[in-house]
Amino acid sequence: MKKSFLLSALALIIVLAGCGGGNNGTSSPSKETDSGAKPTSSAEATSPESPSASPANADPVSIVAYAYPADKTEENATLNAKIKRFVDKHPNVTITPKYWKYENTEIAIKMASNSAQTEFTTWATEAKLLSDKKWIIDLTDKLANWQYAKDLNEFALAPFVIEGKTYGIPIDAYGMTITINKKLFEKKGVPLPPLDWTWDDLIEAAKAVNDPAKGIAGFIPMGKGTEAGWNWTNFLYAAGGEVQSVADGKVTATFNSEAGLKALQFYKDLKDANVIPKNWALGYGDALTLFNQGRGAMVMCGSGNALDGAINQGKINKDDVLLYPIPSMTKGGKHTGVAGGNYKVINGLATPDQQQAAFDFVVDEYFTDAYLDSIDAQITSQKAKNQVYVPQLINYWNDSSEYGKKYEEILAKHDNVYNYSPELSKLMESKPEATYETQAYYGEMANAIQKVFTSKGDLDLQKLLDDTAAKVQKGSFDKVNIE
Amino acid sequence: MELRMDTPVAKPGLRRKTRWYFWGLLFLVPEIVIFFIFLWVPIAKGISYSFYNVDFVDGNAFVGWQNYADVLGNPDFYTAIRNTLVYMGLALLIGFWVPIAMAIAVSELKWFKGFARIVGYLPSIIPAIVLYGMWQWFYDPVGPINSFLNFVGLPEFDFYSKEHAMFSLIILETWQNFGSATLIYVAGLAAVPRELYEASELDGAGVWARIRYVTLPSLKGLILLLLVLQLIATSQAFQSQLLMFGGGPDNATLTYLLLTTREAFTFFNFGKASAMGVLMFIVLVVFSVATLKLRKGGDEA
Amino acid sequence: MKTAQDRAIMSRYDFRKPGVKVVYAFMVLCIILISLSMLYPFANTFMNSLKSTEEFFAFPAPFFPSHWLWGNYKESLDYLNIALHFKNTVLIFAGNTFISLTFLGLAAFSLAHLRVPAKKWITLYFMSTLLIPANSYLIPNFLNLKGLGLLNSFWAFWLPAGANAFYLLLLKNFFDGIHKELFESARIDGASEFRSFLSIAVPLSAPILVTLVLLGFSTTWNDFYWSSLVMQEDKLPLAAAIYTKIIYPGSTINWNVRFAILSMTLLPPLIVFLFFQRYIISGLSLGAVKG
Repeated sequence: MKKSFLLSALALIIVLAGCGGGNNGTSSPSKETDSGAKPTSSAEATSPESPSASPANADPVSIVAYAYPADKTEENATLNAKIKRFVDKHPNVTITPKYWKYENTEIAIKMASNSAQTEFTTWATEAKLLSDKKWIIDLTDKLANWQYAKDLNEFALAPFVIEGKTYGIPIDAYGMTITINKKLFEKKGVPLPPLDWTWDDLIEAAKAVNDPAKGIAGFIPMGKGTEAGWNWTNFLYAAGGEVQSVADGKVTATFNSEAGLKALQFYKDLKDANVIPKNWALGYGDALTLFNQGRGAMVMCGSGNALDGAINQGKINKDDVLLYPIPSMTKGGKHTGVAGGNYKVINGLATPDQQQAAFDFVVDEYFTDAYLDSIDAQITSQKAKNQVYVPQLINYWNDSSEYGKKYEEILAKHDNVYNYSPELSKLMESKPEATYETQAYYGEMANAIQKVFTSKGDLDLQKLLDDTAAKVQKGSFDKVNIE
Repeated sequence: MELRMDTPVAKPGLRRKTRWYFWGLLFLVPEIVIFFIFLWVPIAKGISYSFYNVDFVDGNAFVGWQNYADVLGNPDFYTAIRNTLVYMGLALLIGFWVPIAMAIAVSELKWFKGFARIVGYLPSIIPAIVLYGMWQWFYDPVGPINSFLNFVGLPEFDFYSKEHAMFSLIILETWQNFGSATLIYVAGLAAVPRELYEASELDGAGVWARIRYVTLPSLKGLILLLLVLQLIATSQAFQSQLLMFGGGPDNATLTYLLLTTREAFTFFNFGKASAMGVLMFIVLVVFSVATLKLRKGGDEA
Repeated sequence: MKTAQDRAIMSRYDFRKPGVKVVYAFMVLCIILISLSMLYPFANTFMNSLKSTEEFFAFPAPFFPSHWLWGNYKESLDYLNIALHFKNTVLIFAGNTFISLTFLGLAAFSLAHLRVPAKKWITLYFMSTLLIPANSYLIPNFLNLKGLGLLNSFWAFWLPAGANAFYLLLLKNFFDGIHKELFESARIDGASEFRSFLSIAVPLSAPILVTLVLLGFSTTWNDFYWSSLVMQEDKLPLAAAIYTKIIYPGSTINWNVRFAILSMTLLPPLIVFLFFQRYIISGLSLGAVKG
């Protein structure tokens, strides 16, 4: 009994990284087939490939598809329709939708008992971990035979390309932004900072809207769990820093560079200016809740995710929230933030036949009109619920492609779609997360950040960074094997 | 009756023994089997994991003492041990006497006695999401506790600071968990014969004296038992540490089990996590045996 | 307050002393404050469930909703078949209680009052399982259940419920407190050991049995992680169903509706505890009467 009680905590382990939890429909329906999606030639593949119809004599294969929780009725209906269309074309394949949402705290047990779906959705941060454990398969060969592979947004694909091999197919991607609660600025009569802002602008703005006596903070950095390190890395990137360097098969920590020092000094400045919540122990959800409550004027998150929550769950008017890029360190500098997203991967424990069928199923309706139709339907249904559709800033397709234009047209049709300012997209730059032992780095960095947030008086920041780097180096980076 | 009559009769050794032990063993067998299948088999497997690099796809690879060396070489390991000991000590100091006091106090109530006995147990049915949300608000710089301090002119208390974080957790844990221990004590109190109070009152003992010389001695066995159980439970604590502070600030609330959990479920190092479990097991066993020996020694002397 | 049975530590005479009165009043005040803090989360959850989304996030948060939106409850029913999952929880709880109390009771009785060879070692065999943290063998544990073919079956809860050294220790402790002479005389009267167990040990241990039933209830009620791994879909107990379907990270169900669901799930145990507390109490004092 004790056991289950202790265990019950695990499920709550804060989900980092999942910032790109989209409300975008994942893969979707289409009546058309990707004609020409040539099957893989690898020895394993005996499965249905030709898009038109599979050979009647193909061996029966059954796979499990990644279903959605019950509240996502649209998405589940779309998935069922997609399954039906796929099975009609490939009668030897049986597809059962099953609901289990990817959680980094549960995947181990799912794999240990081989009960994860044949294809499932995961996050950008998980690529190295999952591929190292061989829990997901290398898709390079399969992609080579898929006609649309070249049309995938290279930027979105990047996190799942490891040492030249591709392990996942992007669904959507995000770049980090800062979401601002405009109402708090107006209440205090403070002018909004310029979109092309700097670190100093951020601190000044935060000081101006700050009101600790009422429990209102100028800026809410996440400080608990790995998301603390994830948030901070934006400033590391904006200062031109890197998390690690890879050379001669060795990974070396580089975040204790001059850029790192500047970024940490910025956090110290935030703390000294008293513009962050005294309660530093804010995970992803905690920070967004404070923002929704109007207890903080600015929060950092993937593209429109904080904004989506604030509008649709927090019921803040969509004109009262604004998106800013990560500020540049100095005027005219780059607004570089962390990138991430959601990916489709194939279960490493499935048989080759199942893996092939799952891959065919996943890519079956990429780049088809049906996917666009489902987005259209989703926006309409959100309108009925008085909600606003917040698109992802980055998608699996290239925005300039034909397909991207069609998508834009659909968004333009509706009035309950959030429009990103074109200037924002111009200013924003996004850079993928580190590849090796990222979680360990985030976790260690969280300690350093907490030290900055809770220490009184002066701190030797360089020493703090060096110590942190040394610990991550010894504990994690040194153990990485690069083939 | 049967037992009594059978035993003195001389019968072949084995058969006599079986008879002699028949009921005792019969009652134990189901539990011996259940413990074996559902606890010892997984535990044994867990112990064996500690010598392997666990891999569900390629199969496990034997690595000898490597996991143990890794665990012992991690500076966080020692931080976690220290924090766990601090937590156990604080919990004992702040939390242990609460259910005893509550059980005694409640049994003296004239009204709502039944309700008061149960009330402490209510938090155990509250979902974690509500519970931790509530405490985050209670501990907030502008939350009810600090507003009250402010109101009576006291300085603000920073529940989230490095120095206070563990203390804040003890308050939360005590609030949440004292109800179950209270129930157990109430059950124990119910067994104290009322005549004892009557007699000691006639002897002129005051209320305190009665509690001290009648109530507490009657509960002695139970108090010792719950002391051991609390030590075991607090040595394995990690839930509130994880959910409230994520082990921070700067590892100030990183407990042993939180580190274990992190190894297993954030970094997927099952071998290391198992090794940590085994190390803890060994230490606790040594500790328990030593306590037993000491107590026995004390009794003899 | 008429019979000696009803008195506790203090008697009527004690209340004539002013010092005792003051301390007693302070004690009552403490109990009231504690009780209020225990009830607060219930009231708060319920009030939040009736708020509008705007009000839910309003800061500082009003305690009472300005409009009582019962519609949140209606909406919440769309997301979860509460009755079905509630039934699963009750089934798990009932089976767990039966198996754990029956078999652990017998074992504890045997260790406390019967002749057992190598009793020390057998006790150690049970108790040492308390010393190894469950997290460190969580995965083998799960694989073990899978290997036994128990996944997605109620037996996956019922049988392991018997493997609880914590309960065993408490039961044994209570049985130890029963005088040996009672059993001796029963034996002389010709009662079998099983009869002694049922007719002497069990009634005398009513307080601890009631306590363990309560402990078992809240454990079953709260467990969502383990049961969400072991059970699937329609067999999920309530807590697991809520955590996987309603308040999972990334859920877009509005918070007030989520709290409506939580409120509904708080209701049954609250009723059990508050309205049936008199029976619980009578269970607790049963042992006293006979002991």
